[in-house]
Amino acid sequence: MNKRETVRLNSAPDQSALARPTVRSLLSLGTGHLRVSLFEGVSVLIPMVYVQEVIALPAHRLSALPNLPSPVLGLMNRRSQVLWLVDLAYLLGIGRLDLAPQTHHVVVLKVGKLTVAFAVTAIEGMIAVPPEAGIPVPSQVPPSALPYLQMCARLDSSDGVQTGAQTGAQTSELLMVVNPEALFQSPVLQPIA
Amino acid sequence: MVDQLKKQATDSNGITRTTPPSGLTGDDEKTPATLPKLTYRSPVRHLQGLTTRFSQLGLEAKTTILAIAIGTLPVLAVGGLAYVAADRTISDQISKAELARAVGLSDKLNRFMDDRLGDLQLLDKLPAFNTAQTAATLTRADRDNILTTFVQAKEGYESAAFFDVKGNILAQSAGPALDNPSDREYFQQVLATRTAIITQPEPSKTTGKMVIHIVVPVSDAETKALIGVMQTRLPINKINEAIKNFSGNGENYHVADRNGRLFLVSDPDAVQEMGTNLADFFPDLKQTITDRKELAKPGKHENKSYMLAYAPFKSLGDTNLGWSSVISLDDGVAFGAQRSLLTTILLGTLASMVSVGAIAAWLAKRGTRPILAATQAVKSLGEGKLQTRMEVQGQDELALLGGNINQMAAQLETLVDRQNQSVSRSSLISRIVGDLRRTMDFDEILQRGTEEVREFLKCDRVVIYKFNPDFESGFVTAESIGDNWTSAKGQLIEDPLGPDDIERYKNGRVWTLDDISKRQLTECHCQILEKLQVKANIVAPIRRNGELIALLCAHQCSGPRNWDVEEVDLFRQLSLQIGYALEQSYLFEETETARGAAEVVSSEQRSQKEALQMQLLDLLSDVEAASDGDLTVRADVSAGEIGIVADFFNAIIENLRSIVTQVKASAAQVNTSIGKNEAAIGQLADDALQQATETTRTLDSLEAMTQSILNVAQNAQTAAAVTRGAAEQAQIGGDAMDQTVNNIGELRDTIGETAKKVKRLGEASQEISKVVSLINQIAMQTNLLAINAGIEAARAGEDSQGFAVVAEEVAELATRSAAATREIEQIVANIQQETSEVVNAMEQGTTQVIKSSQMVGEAKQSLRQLVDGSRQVDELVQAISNATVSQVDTSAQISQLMQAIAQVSARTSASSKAIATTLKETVTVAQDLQSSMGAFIVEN
Repeated sequence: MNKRETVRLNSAPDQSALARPTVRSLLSLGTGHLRVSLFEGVSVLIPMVYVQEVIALPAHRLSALPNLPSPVLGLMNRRSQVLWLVDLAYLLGIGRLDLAPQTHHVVVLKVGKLTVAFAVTAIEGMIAVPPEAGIPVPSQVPPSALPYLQMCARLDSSDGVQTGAQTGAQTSELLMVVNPEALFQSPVLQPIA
Repeated sequence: MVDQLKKQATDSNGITRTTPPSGLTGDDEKTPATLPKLTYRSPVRHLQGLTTRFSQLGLEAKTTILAIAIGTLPVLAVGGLAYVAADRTISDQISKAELARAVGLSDKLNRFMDDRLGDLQLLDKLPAFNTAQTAATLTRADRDNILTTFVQAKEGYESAAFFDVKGNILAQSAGPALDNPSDREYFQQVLATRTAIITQPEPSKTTGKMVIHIVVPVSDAETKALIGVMQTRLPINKINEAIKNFSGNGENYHVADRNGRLFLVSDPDAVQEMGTNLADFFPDLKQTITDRKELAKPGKHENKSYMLAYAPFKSLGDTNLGWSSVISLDDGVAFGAQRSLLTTILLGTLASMVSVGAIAAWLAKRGTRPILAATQAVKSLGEGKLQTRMEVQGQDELALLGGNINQMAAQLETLVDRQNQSVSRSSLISRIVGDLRRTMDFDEILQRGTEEVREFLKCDRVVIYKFNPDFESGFVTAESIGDNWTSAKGQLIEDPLGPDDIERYKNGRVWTLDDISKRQLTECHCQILEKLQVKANIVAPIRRNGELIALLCAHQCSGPRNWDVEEVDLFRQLSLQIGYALEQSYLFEETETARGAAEVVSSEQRSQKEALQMQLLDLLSDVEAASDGDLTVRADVSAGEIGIVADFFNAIIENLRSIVTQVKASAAQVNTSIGKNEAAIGQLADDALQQATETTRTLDSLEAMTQSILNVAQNAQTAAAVTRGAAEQAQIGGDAMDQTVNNIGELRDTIGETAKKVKRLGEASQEISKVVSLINQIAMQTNLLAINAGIEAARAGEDSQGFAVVAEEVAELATRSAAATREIEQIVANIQQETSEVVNAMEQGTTQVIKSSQMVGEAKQSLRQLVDGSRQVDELVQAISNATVSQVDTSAQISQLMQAIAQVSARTSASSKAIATTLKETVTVAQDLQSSMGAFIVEN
């Protein structure tokens, strides 16, 4: 702790992640959601039921292929299983993934028998979203994303979110919850599905 | 023998009289023993004194001394040589004997000690001591008995003992119990070296007496292990007994230990000297003792002479004691026999010297007796007793000497007679000359001369034959004749002389004729002589003023006469004297004639003078009026000298008259001029006074100026001092600047170092950020794995709730570590930023340092300029000071010049006044002149 005192920090001392008390909430498949960041400041929730696993994929293991739809980045190998990797933000129509980084954060989703990998900017963690937190999708959401959203969740960020990057502990946060089934029905994925 | 002695005596006599002292040493072979000895043994002055005294001795004494010396000195030399040889041989023998004694003593003692050591080495080999089994069978009493028997059987021991290695007594001979020796040095040395030791003498701890310990180690016979030490003790007095036959009869021995300390002496008086150093005890042997060499030599101890012999102990087998011994033998004993022998030699030498000397003296006396007689005779001859004669005996050299002395005496007598004769002759001549000079008359001189000559020569006739001018004939002008002989006076004799004869006579030669019948003569001359009955003849010239005028002839008519040399000589002298007398009378006559002529001339002169006086009186009466100032008078000009005088006089008066006229006019003019000048001179005097006053005022101003110049000089000095101080300060400032520049340089170096370190810090933080990113990646992976685990756990259902919790915690931890790495990244970023800031700041600092060092350099330059400037100012001020000094000098000179001017003008003023006074006087004089000029009448 001494070290921390000698180093001048721009943030407040009590904001340190190391000092933060651990929240031990039990997650179930019903309420558990994976929180991912699409780009800076924009996070979405993915229901745990569809999530197979998360992977950090080095860029060189991604094989790009020609004549594919724009959101599809290429093929990747996951435990001897070849998967399509799709840019989630592009698909939702609310931005594009930065293609420069050496490592892609990948979420493998499975709907039915189809398994597809989605690339996001960062995987932030798991949170439980109680049913009472669910609210309808507000109107200010970009229309391109609307078909793929299930609902929105208002979360008290002080206890619900496990990221240290967010400030404003007392303010509640509104997060979009993605509907993977709708994603899989996206026309973009139809040729490959 | 006598002759030899005589010769010897004369030889040595001659040498001592004629040669300097060095001759004594060199060439006299007969006295080699004495004379070299003199020069050898004595200083030069003493030798000279001796030789002087020796040469003053009589011949007899000298001969005696030399004879005794020749007789006795060889005897003395032989005796001395015999003495020296005997002395040396005996001394050598004595010293050798003493040395042998000393060496014998050393040997004996050495052997004694070696025996003792051998004893002990035998003893320790006894099984009773070195074999454990045997020792076990014996009791302590048995072993004590063995040792007691050993001590009693062998002489010299006091005790014997056997110790174990700790020093406890295992066995001991009968006697008082011994102390534990384990603390003694020798004991420990034996244990350490395992060799036998003979200790140096030391006082016993128990009894206090000097003792020697012999100690040997005892080893077990089988195991060879050291089991104990065997020790015997020897008291010194026992050793003393072993060697006591080396003392007695004036002989004493002294033994010193390894350190040179005396521990064994035979002389009971020297017991208290025990422990003193041997070298101090015998100072004469100090060097020998240091060298450890055998030597015997005479020496002293406590003011008594001894024969000392020194012998160091040699090492004998294992025993090396290092002792040394000195045997001293009283001189009286050592050299007694030698002295009696020497006394015998001395007495024998003296006896032979006395007898030989006596014989030599008798011989010398006999030899010198004739010489002494000769000396006596010569002495009485020297005192004027010419009748003295020596007795002449034999044919030898002394007889010859006597004969010569007699002959010499006879010759001396003859010479004295002749001397008397010539003296009477000289007195005769002087008497004759006196007679001749008494008169001036020519004929009388001649007459007297003939008489005197005849009286002197005792001849029959003496004539003076005066030549006619042609030397063909002449007259006999004077004659002195004995009775009964024909007179020749007044006769004209025609006897022409040849030119040779004239020349001969002119040179003053005397012609003699001893016997007319035995000489061939011209017939004419022979006739003349026969006519005058002349049998022997002597003729001498008479000259006047070098001219031959006559001949002096003395005739012997009674018979032939042998003319003596002295008579001839005298005759010639008489003829010369007659000539001189004639010359004198001739001169006298001439003087008389001249006086008569002079008287006639003077009477004529007198009448002429009277006539002149008359004319002069006439002239004087004419010009008498001129003395009263009448310059108009004129003298009558007559014929003759006085007329010329009158003419001159008239001319003079005329000139005088014109001069007086001019003087009168000049005096009047002078009067007028002076009247005019007087006023001008007064003005001049006033001006001079004014000038003096002004000069004095100028002097005051000059004084003030000098004072101000001095002030300036003082101020300049002060300014110089101030400037110099400033220069020094500037110098100090410059030094401080240098210091500053150095400091700045150091600062720059420090900054450079710091910058390097800071850069390294930046590099390190970059390393940190790499590591941090790695950690971040790992955290991220962990997080993903945790999420996967959580998904799996959730999928597994209720049973894997615990696993889910663990996954949750792992995720939490991963998240925290990610956050922590972010914080670290932040910190590192901060560090890097600050580092770069610091680097910038340092670069700026370096720039500033360079700039400031440049500025310091500039400041230093300025300071140097300041120093130079102040030095220049100093020099300038110095120059000013010098200039002011020279100014002061100059103004002092000016002041002096001014004073001189003032003095000059004062003098001018005084002079002007004096001139004025003088002018007034001049006026008076001019007026006087005018009035006196009035007395002259210049016009009729």
